[in-house]
Amino acid sequence: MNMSKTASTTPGRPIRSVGRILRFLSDFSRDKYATVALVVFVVLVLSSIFANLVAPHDPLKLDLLNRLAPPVWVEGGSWKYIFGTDLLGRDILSRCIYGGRMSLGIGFAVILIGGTFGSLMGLLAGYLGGRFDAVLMRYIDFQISIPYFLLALTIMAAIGPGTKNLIIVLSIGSWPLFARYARSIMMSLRQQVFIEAARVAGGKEIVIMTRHVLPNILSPLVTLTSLELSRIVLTEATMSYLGMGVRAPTPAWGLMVQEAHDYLMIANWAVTTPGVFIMITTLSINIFATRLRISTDPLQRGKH
Amino acid sequence: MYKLAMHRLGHSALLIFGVVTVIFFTNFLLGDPVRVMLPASTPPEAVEEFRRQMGFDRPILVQYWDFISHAVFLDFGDSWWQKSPSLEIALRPFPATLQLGIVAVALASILGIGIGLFAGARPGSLWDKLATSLSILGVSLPLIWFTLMMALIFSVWLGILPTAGYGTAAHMVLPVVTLAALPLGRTVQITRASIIDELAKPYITTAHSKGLSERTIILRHALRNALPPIATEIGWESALLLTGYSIIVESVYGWPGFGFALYHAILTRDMPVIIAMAFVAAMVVVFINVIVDIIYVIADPTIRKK
Repeated sequence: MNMSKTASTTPGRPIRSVGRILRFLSDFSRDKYATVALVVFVVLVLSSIFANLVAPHDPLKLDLLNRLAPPVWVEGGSWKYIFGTDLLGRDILSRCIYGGRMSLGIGFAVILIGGTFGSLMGLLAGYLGGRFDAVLMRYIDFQISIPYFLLALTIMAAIGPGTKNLIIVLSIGSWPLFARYARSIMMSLRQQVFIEAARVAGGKEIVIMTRHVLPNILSPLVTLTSLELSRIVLTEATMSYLGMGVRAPTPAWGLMVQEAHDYLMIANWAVTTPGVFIMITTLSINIFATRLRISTDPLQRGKH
Repeated sequence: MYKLAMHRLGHSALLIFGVVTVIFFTNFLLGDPVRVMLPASTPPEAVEEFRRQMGFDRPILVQYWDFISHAVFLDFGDSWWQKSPSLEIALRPFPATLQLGIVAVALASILGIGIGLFAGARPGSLWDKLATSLSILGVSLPLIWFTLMMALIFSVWLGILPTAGYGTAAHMVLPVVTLAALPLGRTVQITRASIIDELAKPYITTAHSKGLSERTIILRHALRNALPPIATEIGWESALLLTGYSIIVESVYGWPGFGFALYHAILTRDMPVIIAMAFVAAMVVVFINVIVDIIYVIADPTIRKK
């Protein structure tokens, strides 16, 4: 990062004007890794949303004469099924595109539920302090030390697999992180000089919250959200792979890996392709989040 | 120091008690044990009769009291499918996982701290960029896919490692490598970040002006202060390894360990075994916390005075 370009944004000062946002965007676009990662991620999200327009085939349509057809670059492959077909002759590319709808959809739903609830609780705890804060933090400490997978798998086994149940279980696992983070930011912000100054100047609480506090917690929250999204995509894939998540025949990446698991030796593309889709998703999110932290956290700037 | 230790001990007991309780209630409130144990074709009268005989018709709190008053003497009841004590079933596969876990955690810690130090001491260098990129790759790996790819490459294509099984050192290579990948990435990231933070502090300047060598400054001063967050991270990853990553890795490579047995118990809804395994997992979490605490005390002697 170029220090001289960004030095004017001193730590702790809110990003307020449009000019600042534009400067941030131009800073960010200069970072080619971050830009590529963001573009890749946006393409994945768009192709998931418009899966019905982008996917070449129906993801559920069987073509039993073309079972386990290899991808186009392998001998015997054809352009009809670019990434080949699975055991039931379903188009792998189409299933991966629709699978993204499932995996990313679940990811965003969990972020929306767990993130909103967690952030609110955390902000409230940091703002109110006192007993509410103490009880909440105690509970979170406890929940974080429970072996998460064990609990999640047990609940899923008891209430039965399915997308809705999976979203609930993943949200329960996700909110404490947001609460902790939002609280710690709130705590440190309360002691910042500019908040004190705004209060002394007679600013109303609500104005202080929305104009001064919110812009400051936004970028760390975006970073946390991205990292959490990548973790949720991985967890969702694992749960579906273990038969405790999305149910067949709905296409989901983890489920596709599981379905093709036994045919790894004769049709590795049926495992490889959905795995690569997961990998591209988590990589693009992680690269984006890491670079975003560097370009928005002034204290991190000199370090790269 | 003594007071702190007692406080931690109480905290640990509460944690174990809490985990066992939560797993008990999720199992018994969300699922019906009788329906799990009997085939679906059992006539309804027989089902009710069985429910009474087993004591599952009693109020949940009575059942819980019955369970917990036995559990304090380490009696978690018999497994529903294998007629032996659940704690025995929970502990039997444990050594096999410990064998993998210790090697994997040691590998991830030594390599991770080493690479993290090396990268953090030279931020912005080519080596640092390489280490950062690899660590991002490590934390992005989907384990369900990575394990299969490793088996495909090293067992099927190259034919140099066995696909699955238990016994020789060669059988350990793939499970250890796949288990270590994610913790390795995390350890590199956290070590690098904390060492950069430490190196920016004034005492490092003092150390430099005293004429200490770069090596001494990083290894003896900066690393020592950067150790607590690294230890926390590795402890956290070790706990996850036992009850998370091991389920995937052991299932794929047919390793007869804790994760494999846990998954089996969950699939067959063997509630006493699930609870016993949760107890074992909680004990391990407590043990890991103790080690992390000891590292804290070694890194920061002022804790001893508190």
